Amino acid sequence: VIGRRTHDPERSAAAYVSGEMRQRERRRFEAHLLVCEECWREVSLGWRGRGRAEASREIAPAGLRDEIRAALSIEPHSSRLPRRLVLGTTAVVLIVLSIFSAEEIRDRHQPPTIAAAVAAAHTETLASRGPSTREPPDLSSQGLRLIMGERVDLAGLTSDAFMYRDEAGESVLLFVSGSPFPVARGATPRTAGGEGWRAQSEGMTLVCGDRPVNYLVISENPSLVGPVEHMITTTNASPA
Amino acid sequence: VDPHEDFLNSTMGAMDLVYNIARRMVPGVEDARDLVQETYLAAFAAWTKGRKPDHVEPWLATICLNLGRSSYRRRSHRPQEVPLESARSIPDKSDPERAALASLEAAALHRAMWLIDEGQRMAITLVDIVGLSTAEAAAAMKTPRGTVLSRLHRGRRSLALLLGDQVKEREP
Repeated sequence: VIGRRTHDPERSAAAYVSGEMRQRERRRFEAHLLVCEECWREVSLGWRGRGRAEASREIAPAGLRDEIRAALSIEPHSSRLPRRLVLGTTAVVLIVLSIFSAEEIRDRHQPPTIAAAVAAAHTETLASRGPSTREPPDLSSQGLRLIMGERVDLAGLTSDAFMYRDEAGESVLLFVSGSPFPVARGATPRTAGGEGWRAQSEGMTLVCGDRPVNYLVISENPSLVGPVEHMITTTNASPA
Repeated sequence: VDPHEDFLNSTMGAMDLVYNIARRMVPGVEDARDLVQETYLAAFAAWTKGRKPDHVEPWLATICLNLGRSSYRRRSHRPQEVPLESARSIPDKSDPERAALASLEAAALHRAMWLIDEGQRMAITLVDIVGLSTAEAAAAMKTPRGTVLSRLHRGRRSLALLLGDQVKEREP
């Protein structure tokens, strides 16, 4: 029988559910469970929680293994090399040259809404205000899987945010708002099918337009921006 | 023996383990991938200096925990922010119903995991998700085993309650 001094339902339930009790100890505890409501409850919740935790197990993304191999081969003695810098020396040089032009390096202070959107695309993190109010465009035919749809606040501009991911794990963010997005610094104007612009900022490609709704598409991969923009301009994305 | 290949052959099998820890230490997917890479680079640096462990999994888990605490914790704990993938997921319309339900459940699970105490989340991650023993988890967390057991149970209980699980009534 579990005595008063050793009656600790939390630790007993943890060890029991983890399978870390010796056979004799386990038998005693199982006998105790029959008469102790508190321990029964803790074990019951412990089993359910463990099952939930096990169900949340993930598989490392495809490509991460190759990235690590590349990182080790490029900088064998480095222990602090950010992953995004280890995409290949040539690729990094090209990206830096093409994206961070001298003009942009001088002019990196974007309007707060644009800066917030770019930061969200970089960190994949945003403050949620609740579920999105619009129906998200279906881009499955473009190989883009919808990950989430949220109502967000972009530095004062309320917007719906939809994130998609392709099979390679790259993401693209679509913002749709009832208010116009500010123009990014360094943007190139476009007038086809309404007012809009295209810009590069912090390694991200941004495309903005105002028909049929105000939208902003952002991705690190420029080829992911086009399909999303095409979909938003060819479907009705009005509030649901 | 090529040290790269020796290291990779010995440690690559544990990548899912490291990734699962990283995903529960930092909210963003990209930060998690960075943390996994930093873990492997740090492990390789130690490996080439002759510090090869008897058991790779707890060794990598410890490195990942230490790196996660020291270099990611502050910037990852942004108040009132949630990782996008832990927010409400909307199932792909082209997926069958089962995939949609699975997607919703996965999002709810991930969100619940981020709502519980960090110490409890780490105990659950190390024991229930990556399969370390409570003794190994205690060593990795630099915490007494009894504390790990308490955190483990409280975390499991919180997860169950957050996700609406009910205690099954004992049959009379």
